[in-house]
Amino acid sequence: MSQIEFLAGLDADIHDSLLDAGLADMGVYTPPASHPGDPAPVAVYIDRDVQRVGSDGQILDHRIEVAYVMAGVVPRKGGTLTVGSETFTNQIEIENDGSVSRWAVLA
Amino acid sequence: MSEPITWQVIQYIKSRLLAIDGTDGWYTSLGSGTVLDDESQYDARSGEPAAVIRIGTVARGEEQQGNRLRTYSFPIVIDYAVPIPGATNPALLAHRAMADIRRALMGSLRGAPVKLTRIDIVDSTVDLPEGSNNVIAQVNVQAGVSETLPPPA
Repeated sequence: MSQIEFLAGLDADIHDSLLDAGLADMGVYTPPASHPGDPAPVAVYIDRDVQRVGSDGQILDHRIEVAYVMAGVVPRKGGTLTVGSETFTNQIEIENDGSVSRWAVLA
Repeated sequence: MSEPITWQVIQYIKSRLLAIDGTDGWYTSLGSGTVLDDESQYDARSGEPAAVIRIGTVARGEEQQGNRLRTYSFPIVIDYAVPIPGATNPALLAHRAMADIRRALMGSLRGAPVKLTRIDIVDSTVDLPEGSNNVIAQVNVQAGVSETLPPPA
């Protein structure tokens, strides 16, 4: 077993456990028009925070990051994630270790 | 007694920004949002546009007429956050916001309620914070004023 295969299995197991505990989500990923494909189920973590924008940080805004467990899915810019009634659009990829891809998203 | 001239300048600029109402050639509609003139925070998650006006260090100019007429200049920073949702091109939206602020501050100063001698737009930038639902336009201004001080009691 390669390192990336081990990591993918580990991340899938961890997500399964956290999903049972209510600390992770399953969603549906829809690729962008630039990389057409069918919507597919995907394991994700959604982190919600605020960020202070502007030069003095007086304006508060969302900051939402989505970590995709990438089994069967390659998230791309402009792709959308639907979880329940919410839809997020991938804006910028922040991290990618080959198993989990973390994105800054727009709500 | 009227408020300090620096505060009056901020209020004048605030009034100019609130005139940006999305009609008559304006690209955006800051006038439907909020303009902060203090240190408070604004929650842009409401989906409304918002701007912040801040003043920098006030530099005193030459004194004239027996020290009663004084001139000052000071930098002013304007941040304008415009909600992205609905926009097809956030970068374009940021440029439009920047253009609106620049336009709002141009023109004659004759109608200004304070003795503004100049408003110079020094520079302006746009920013698209990661994961933000807003784009930011920032305009840096240098303002000049003259003030006649009352005689000492």
